[in-house]
Amino acid sequence: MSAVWGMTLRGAEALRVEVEVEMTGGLFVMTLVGLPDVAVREARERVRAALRSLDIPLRGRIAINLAPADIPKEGALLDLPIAVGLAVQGEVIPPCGGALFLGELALDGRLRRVRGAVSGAILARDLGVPLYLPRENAPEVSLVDGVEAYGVPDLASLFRHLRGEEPLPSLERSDPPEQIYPVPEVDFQEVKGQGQAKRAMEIAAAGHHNLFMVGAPGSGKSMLAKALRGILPPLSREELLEVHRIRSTLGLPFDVSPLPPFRCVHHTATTPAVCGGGSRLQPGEISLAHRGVLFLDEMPEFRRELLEAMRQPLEDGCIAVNRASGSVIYPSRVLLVCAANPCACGYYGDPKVSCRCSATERRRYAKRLSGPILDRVDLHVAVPRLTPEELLSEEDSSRESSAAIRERVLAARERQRSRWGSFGYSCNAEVPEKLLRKSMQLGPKEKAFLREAARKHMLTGRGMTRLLRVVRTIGDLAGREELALPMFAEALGYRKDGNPWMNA
Amino acid sequence: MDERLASLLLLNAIPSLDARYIQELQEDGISPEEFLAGGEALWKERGFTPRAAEFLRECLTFEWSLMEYESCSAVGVSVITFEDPAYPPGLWDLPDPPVLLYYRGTFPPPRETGELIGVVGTRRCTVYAREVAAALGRTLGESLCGVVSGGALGVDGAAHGGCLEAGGYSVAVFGTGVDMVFPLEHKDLFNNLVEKGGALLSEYPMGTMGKAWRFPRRNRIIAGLSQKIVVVEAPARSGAIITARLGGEIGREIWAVPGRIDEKVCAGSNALLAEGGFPLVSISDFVELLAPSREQKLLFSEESQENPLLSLEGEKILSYLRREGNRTVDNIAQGVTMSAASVTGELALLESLGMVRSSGPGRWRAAL
Repeated sequence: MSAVWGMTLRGAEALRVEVEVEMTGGLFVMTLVGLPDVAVREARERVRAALRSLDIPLRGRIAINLAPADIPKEGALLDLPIAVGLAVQGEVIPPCGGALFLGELALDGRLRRVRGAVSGAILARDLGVPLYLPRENAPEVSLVDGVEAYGVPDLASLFRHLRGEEPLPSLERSDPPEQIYPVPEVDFQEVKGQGQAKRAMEIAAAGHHNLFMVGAPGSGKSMLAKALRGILPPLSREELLEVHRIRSTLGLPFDVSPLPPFRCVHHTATTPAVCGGGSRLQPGEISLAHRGVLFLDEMPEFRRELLEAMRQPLEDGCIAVNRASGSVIYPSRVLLVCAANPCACGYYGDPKVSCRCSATERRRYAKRLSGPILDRVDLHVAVPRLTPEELLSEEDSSRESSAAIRERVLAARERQRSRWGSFGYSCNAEVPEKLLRKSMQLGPKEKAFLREAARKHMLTGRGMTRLLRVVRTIGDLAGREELALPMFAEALGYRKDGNPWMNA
Repeated sequence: MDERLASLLLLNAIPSLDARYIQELQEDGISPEEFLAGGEALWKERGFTPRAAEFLRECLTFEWSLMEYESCSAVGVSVITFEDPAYPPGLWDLPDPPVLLYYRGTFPPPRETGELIGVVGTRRCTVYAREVAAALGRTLGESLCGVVSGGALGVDGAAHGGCLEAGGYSVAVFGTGVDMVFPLEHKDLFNNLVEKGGALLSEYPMGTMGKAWRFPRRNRIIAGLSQKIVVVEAPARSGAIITARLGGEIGREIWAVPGRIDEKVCAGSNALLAEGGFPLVSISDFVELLAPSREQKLLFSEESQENPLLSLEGEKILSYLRREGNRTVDNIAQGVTMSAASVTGELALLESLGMVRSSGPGRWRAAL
C-alpha cells in the first residue's frame, strides 16, 4: 500500500489529498472513491492510457481512495498523483511519499496545464515537500519563494527522475522583470483634454480613492478608466502572487507584468460572476480585480442587489463566498471606477445634442445614481463631451504621459506609507476617520472654510470625511504635510453633489 | 354651510359648467338653489344632457355637497365663489370663468402684492431655462410682484421656488384637486408655498385626479389670474403655449424668453416672439416695468468683483466665463492659463459663492 500526495482546490486554497492505491488479483477493474467529481472519475481512462504508453499495463482489481473521504475533489489535476500511485504500487518506481504531484495527463503521457498551480506551490512550501507539476505551469510557480518545484514535461521523464536515472532540473525562483513597466493599452497622453478628470484619476491612484465619472456617451469615460491602470503603482512581488493565485484558480493565462489588473464588468453580470460563487466557489470579478481597477460602466443599469452585494467586499477588502459546498475567503481590495451617463438618453446638458428624456425619466435616472455604492466613492467628476472645435484646439496642446503622472503617484504613496505604515495602513483611503482627523492639524482659516462648505453644500459627516481624505491625498501629491486652503477648495470640487444640474 | 354654497359646489362639479351659465340663470330669475330644486325638466330645458342630469340627481340624494364641504374643512381648504367680492376680477375676462375656486394658503394675494405674473414653461426644460425661471421668480419676489404658475416640474417649479426664496407671493394653479400632490417631487415646494404665505388653487373638487385634458383647462385660470404671462421655454405643442394663446385672447401681455433656434424645447416660445410677443431680454428691465419704484438691480452686477472672498484667480475665471459663456474645465484652464486642479478648486469656491453654475456634465457658466 502506498500513499501519494495530490491536491484539490477549495476556492483559491489548496487542500492536500492523499491518493491511496490498492491492487489485488482478479479481473481488471478500477474503482475510484472519495467524492470525485466527473473530471476526477474520468482520470481512470487518462491514467490507464498514459501508463500503457510507457508499457506499464494495469492488471487486477484496483481500488483508489482519495482521502480525506468527505471533501469533494475536483479537476483533472489529480491525474498525476493517481498515475504515480499506480506506478509505485506496480513497483515501477520506488515509493515517493513526501512530495506533491499535480497535473493532467494526456493519453500519450504528456502533462497538461492545470488550474491552481500557485495555490499548489504555496501548499508544497507550507508542507515543506517538493512539488512536481506540468512544465507549462512552471512560470507561475516561480513567484512563490522557498519551494522546491520541478516542471515535468511528461510521465516518462518524471519516472526517470524518481528512479534517480535522469534528474529533472529544479525550477529557479525568478524575479519579475524589475521596473520595466509595460505600456498599458491607453496612455494619458492619448486622451485629449479632460484635464479635470485626469487630475481626479491621479488623486484616485495616489490615495486609492474610488472614483465616479459622469458624462455623455463618447466623452471618453471608458478610455480614461483604462488609462487609470497605467498610473497605479506597479505590483510588488507579494501583490503579484496574490493576483496570480486568484487567476490560476480560474486557469487564466499567466502574465508576469507588474501592471495592476483591470476588469470591466458588464451590467448584465450576475452576482456570483462579480462576487464569486458557483459550486466550485470560484472567485468573481471583484477578486480578479484585486490590487487593480474594477470598472463598472453604465453604473445605473446594474441591478441594485448586485451593487448591494458589492458593498461589503469594497469596504472590507475581502469577500467570504459561502455556499452549501463550503466557504472561502477571497481578497477584493479594488480601486472602484464607476461611469454613468447624465440621463437615460445620455445628452442632458450637452451643448450640441439635445436631450430627449422627459422630466420624470430624468428624475428616475438621477435616483438610480445614488445608493449603496456611491456612498463608497470619494471622487465625483464630470467628463464633458468635447465639441469638434474643442477637440481640434486640444490637438496640439502638450499633454502629460502616464509615466510622468505615475512618478507623482508613487511619491505620494511613499509619503502615505511613511505616515501610516506604523498604524498598519498603506493609503489614505484605508485610514479610519479618527486617525485621519487627528493627523490633520487644521488652522482657524481651514476650519472656517470647512464649516462654511458644510453649511452651503449640506455635507454629511461622511461627506466631510471623504472631503478630508481627498484633501490629504492632494497634499501628498503636492509633497506637503501641511494643508492649504486651495487644496480644500479643489477637494470640494469633487464632492458628491458636485453635479447640481442633475437635480432638475 | 349655507344653501347657496352647497348649490354652487355641486354645480361646479359639472365639468363644462361655468360662472356665466349661473349668471344667466340668475338673470332669468332662477337662483342656483331653485335650479337644483327644479328637477329634471328644468335641467333639460337649460341644456343638461341626460348623463349630467343623472349625476346631479345622484349627488343630491346622498348630499354630496355636504360631504365635499366637510372634506374641505377637514384639511384646511377654503372656497371662494364667483359671487364673492374677493373673486379675482381677471377671471371675468375669460369666456368661461370658474364657478368657484378651492384654495389652500393665502388667497387672494395680500394687498401689498403688486402685479401677478404668469411664469410658465415646459417640464422638460434645459438647465438654462430653469435658471432663468428661478432668477425671474426671485426678482419678481424681491420686487413684491407675485408669480402664478402650474406647480409642475421644470420651469413652473423653478419659478415658484425662486419667488419663495425671495419671500414673494406665489400661487400654483392645479389641474387636480387642491388636496392632491402632483407631481410628488414637489410636495415640499407646495407645503412651503402654503406656509410662506402663498397659495395652491384649483377649480376641481377635492380628490380629482390628474387627467391630460384637465391641465389645458386649468391653464385658462393661470392666464386669467396673471397680468402678464412669461413663457420661459416651451416646445411647439405645450401647455405653456396654450396658456399664452388663451392669455393673448383675453388681452394679456405675452412675453417670451428667446431660446436657441436649434433646440426643440424652445420652438414654441420662439414662435411666440415671431408672432409679436415681447422678448424678455433682461429680467431687471422686465421687472423694472412692473415696479419702477424699486431700485434697479443689475443682472450682471459689477460689484461682485469686489467680493473680498474672491481670489485673483477666481476673478479671472469669472470674467472669462462671463465673456465666453458655457465652458469646460479644459477651456477655462487654457483660457486663463491655470492647471485643471486649481481651476477645479476655484470653481468650487465660486460655486459656493453662487457666482458660477454647472450647466451640464463638466460645463460651467457665470451665474445669472
